[in-house]
Amino acid sequence: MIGLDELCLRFAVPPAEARTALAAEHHDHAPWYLQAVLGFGGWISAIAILVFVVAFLALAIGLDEPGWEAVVAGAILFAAAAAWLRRGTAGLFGLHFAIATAMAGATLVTGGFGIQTESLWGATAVATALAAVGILGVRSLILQFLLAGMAAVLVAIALQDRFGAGAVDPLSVAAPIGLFLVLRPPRLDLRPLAAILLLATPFAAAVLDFESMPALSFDRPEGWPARIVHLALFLVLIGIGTKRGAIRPGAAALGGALLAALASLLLPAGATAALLLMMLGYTLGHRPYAVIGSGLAVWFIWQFYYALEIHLLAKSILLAAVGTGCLALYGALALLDRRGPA
Amino acid sequence: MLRLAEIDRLHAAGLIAPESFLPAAVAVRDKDAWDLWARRALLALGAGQLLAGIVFFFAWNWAALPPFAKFGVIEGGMLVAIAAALIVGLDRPIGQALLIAASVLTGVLFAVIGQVYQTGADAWLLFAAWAALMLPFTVASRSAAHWLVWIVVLETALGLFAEQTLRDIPGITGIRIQAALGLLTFGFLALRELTAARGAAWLAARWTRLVLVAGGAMLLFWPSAGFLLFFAHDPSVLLLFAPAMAVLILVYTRMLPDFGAATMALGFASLAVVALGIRLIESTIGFTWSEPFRALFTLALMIGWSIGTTALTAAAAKRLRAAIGAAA
Repeated sequence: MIGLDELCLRFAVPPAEARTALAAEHHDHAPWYLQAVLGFGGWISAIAILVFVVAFLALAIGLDEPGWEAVVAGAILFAAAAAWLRRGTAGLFGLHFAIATAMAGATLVTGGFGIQTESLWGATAVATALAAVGILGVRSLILQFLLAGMAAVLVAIALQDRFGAGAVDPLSVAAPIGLFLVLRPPRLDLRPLAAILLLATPFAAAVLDFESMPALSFDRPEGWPARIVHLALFLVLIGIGTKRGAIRPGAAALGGALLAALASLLLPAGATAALLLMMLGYTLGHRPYAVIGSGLAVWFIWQFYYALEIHLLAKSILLAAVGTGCLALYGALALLDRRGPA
Repeated sequence: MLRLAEIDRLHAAGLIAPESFLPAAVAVRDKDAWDLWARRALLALGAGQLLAGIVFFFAWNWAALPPFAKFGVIEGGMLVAIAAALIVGLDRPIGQALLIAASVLTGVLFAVIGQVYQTGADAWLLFAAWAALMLPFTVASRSAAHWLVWIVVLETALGLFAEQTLRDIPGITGIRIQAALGLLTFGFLALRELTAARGAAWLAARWTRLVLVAGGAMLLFWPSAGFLLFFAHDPSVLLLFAPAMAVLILVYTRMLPDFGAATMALGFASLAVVALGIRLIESTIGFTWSEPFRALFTLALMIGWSIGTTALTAAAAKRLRAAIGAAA
């Protein structure tokens, strides 16, 4: 661990500017759990605005279901709110009102378009485009998270509708993109988008019904590409961590790689995605990812019981094998510690 | 020392190049703390999965096993876990994990006894006996995780007892039972703070506080929200919820500064205020689809209330943070 002075020296950061940047107060600097609380409040407000607009269209204009009028109304709301946010002059109330209005507008545009065209993929494309506009045009991390989240949910649903059990495989493409954005963040702050991309697969696997999790099965291809992707990313993190000094090279790194391979072979894609989040949290020292990954890992162990596709004996062997692998690595690390550094 | 959040801010200000972000993040990372976390995560996941695997194995051929074989397997497992814990040492995480396994198997044993003998005993008896018999393991392990498991088992026993035997008493409702359990959880929280303050380092990990705050707040929040949103008709829980959140915020701002715990209480309070607004608006103005203007006006008020509450929450959080900074 180092202080500001040493950081400035190592990375050629002007100390005075660094102190100014750290002292500056901005609503986006709040801890992640506070952002989550405010984001949840934003969602409730967005739903309320959405209900209002739909009710207005129904009661005042007499529309029975969202049509192109809803799309237009939503686009106006979104544009107005985005413009207000871009100005950066909104106070606290105005900020949250604008975020909620933008989300309500985006939902109306997406939902109205989807209903009128009867196309889930069409709605998904619109949601993705709105997310891109919001991310590039408005510098609000909460709005970025909400827009990207909505687009990700629609992508997951559309993939499941198209591919059924195999939806987790194309969805896993989001993980390497998210990982890249976390490890090598661009100038534009895309942390919420990166988080959504990393969380897409495990949350989709946890929430959506992927036909009783057939990705567990060894005699069908669904789920294997996703597991290979997660294993590759796990190994990349081990490599990066070893190179940067976060992970002890040699036996520890090798043990981690073997455990990752074992888990990827035996566990469903959602569980391996959870383990990937834990590994990312560990490598980067990122507590939210570590906590969320741990929670998801526990969830998937519990959900395993309800995977009806394979019987209890197979499940017991899979869990016992991965559990033994974890304990073996734990024991090996303890032994290495006792022997001291090489 | 810098933290990752500060590296994020420096990067957002354009002072750290994208290619330097990862090296900078690793430079400020607390290697020892994260290595410890990784060890414990490996132990917890490994033990949990192995235990689950063993449970699934016996569930697979459970029907074929005679009763005494079932008891033998479970009791044998308990003996092995306890013996291994004593050999490894109770001051080591793996020893504590083995005692937790023995505690879990105690509950499994009672479940199997109930299944084999079909005594017709109430479910609360099983959990109460489980809590009583696992208490010595819990005390011996001096493990915060083990105490949390014990609290869950105990509160389940008390909740079932109240539901199954006390519901006939006037004034005892399901909602009030849930609220009582929430208060009991806060009681355990208070014990945790007192014990940690007296030097029990094994209990002082921050997550133990956060889990108890979340658990207690959730148990009080749901019945309160149910009343506010017209799903329940008992307002008494609200009279407990509001002061409880206020006390939590006060304690974790002034006395034991912890922004995470204070934020959690603030978040629950904020949601309750949103629900309160909905109730007030519905009770005074009312909502009906047959009157368009009134319906839209009511919805607009609810929107304003919800957004205003979110904004007030953000402002309150800012003040809490400043107060915690001053208190610390």
